[in-house]
Amino acid sequence: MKNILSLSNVNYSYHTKEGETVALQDVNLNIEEGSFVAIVGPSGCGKSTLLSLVSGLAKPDKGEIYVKNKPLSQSEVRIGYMLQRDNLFEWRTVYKNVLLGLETRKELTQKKKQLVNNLLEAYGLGNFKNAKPSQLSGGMRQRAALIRTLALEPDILLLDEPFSALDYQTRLEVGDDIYKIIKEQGKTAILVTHDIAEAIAMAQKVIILTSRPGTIRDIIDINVTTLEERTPFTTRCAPEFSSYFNKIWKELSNE
Amino acid sequence: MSELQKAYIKQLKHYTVTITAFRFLLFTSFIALWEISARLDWINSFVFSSPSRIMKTFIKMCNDGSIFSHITVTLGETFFSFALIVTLGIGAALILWMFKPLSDVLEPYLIVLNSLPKSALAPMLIVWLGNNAKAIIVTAISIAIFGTILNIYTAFSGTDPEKIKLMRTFGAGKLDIFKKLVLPASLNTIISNMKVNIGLCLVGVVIGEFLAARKGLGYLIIYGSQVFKMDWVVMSIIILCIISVILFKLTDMAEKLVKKIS
Ligand SMILES: Nc1ncnc2c1ncn2[C@@H]1O[C@H](COP(=O)(O)OP(=O)(O)OP(=O)(O)O)[C@@H](O)[C@H]1O
Ligand SMILES: [Mg+2]
Repeated sequence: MKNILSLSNVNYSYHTKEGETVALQDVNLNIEEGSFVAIVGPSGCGKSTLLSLVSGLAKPDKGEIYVKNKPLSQSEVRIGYMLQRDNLFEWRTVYKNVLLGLETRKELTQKKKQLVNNLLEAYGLGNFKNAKPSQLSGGMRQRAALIRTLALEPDILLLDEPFSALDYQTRLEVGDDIYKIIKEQGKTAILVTHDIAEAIAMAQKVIILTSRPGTIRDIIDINVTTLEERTPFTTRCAPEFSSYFNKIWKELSNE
Repeated sequence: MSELQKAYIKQLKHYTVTITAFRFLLFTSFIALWEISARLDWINSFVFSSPSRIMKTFIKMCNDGSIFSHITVTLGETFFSFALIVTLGIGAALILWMFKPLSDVLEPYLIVLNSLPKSALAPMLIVWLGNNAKAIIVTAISIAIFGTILNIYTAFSGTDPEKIKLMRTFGAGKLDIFKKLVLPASLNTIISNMKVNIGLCLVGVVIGEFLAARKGLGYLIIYGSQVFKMDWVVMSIIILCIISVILFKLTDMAEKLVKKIS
């Protein structure tokens, strides 16, 4: 498959009065179109920074980011970024929240509204269009945040610990839902997570970062045998699951 | 409804009625005591006035229409300065928020100006601007504007950085971030600030009228005290009380309205 995203020798540091923090050092990475990739690594190793660079919110100090073989700044590929917290605006209804991105980009057409309505119906929020975010459960809020991102029809989806605010049960459910949504739409997705099991369950590839300054320590392909179609749930039941878990856990802990 | 709930509701009603009754009692006995003391010459009604004298003065001034022009002038100046404070306050806070270096330069000055007893500026403003409504309005504005700017700017700059990041992922510029995020997120602060400001504007207008006016309730108070017409003074103070209650109720209603539509 074609690479949709490649990073070559990407470096990034933060500067404050107290000093310099090298967050990422010589990161090289290729991501195939339509694949689901997870990034794991110790806290503070630069995972969120990596997503900020890919989304274009920050520019690498050194190195290049290519999207479909064009420099990121000139690319027309659309990148959606779902942040850790849902960041729904309390003064807007769910429907208005979901339209926020389209509104800001001045792309609010009748067709897009239809798309958003379909997404809301499909993912169980149809009856909550006019509710305020505070009336939604944690899982529903996270789904609303995902629909807000999907409404922009991104080709690449960046997910920064999207489930970390949820309790375990909801986390598994929403994880399953979101996986299906993304697969259905054939998007490329990069998921940052602290949860090794979640990474294996959702991704075809798990990228392990070293502690700060973050570089790529290892990339592990996940191949599991499942009875039915592969979903996070069936993957968790696959026989290979625990050996992947141990492998990644060891790599993360003996640093 | 269960019996206990019914009993509770009944008790609650009873309590509210009692409180209202005592409020009314306090008011009427105060008025009655005042009137009786004046009638029986326990107090000098020339200095302390009396409810009946105030009523008489009020009715007389209603008949010749003069009281209405005083009230209109004071209210007009209050509303005008309030409107200016709202626009100037939000506008200035927006500019400070847009240009961080500017706000860093100006912040200490704003803090000093805000902690200054602003009524001290009034005589100077009147010398500069003359004995007119302009001076009165500027005085009223000077009392509330610095606090307003600081207050609203603090609310603006306290906007959740994660939400700003979200807006930036949509490619939003500063003005978009302001319109869609910062302003609505600060609405509560702005409204509670305005609730305080309407009262401050009235204070400022009265101070201004003390010093430079030919009309208005503040003028009536100063003039009345100079010519020893205490009936005018006390009546004006009572009217000011009523006005400030009405203004407060109005802002309360405006607050509820804004909360409902937003
Ligand atoms: N705005 C900033 N200014 C200075 N240093 C920063 C800033 N943002 C992040 N850092 C530092 O850069 C490093 C990488 O941060 P980043 O947020 O990318 O880590 P992370 O892997 O996402 O961490 P976590 O798993 O806790 O979310 C951290 O050590 C952090 O302290
Ligand atoms: Mg992070």
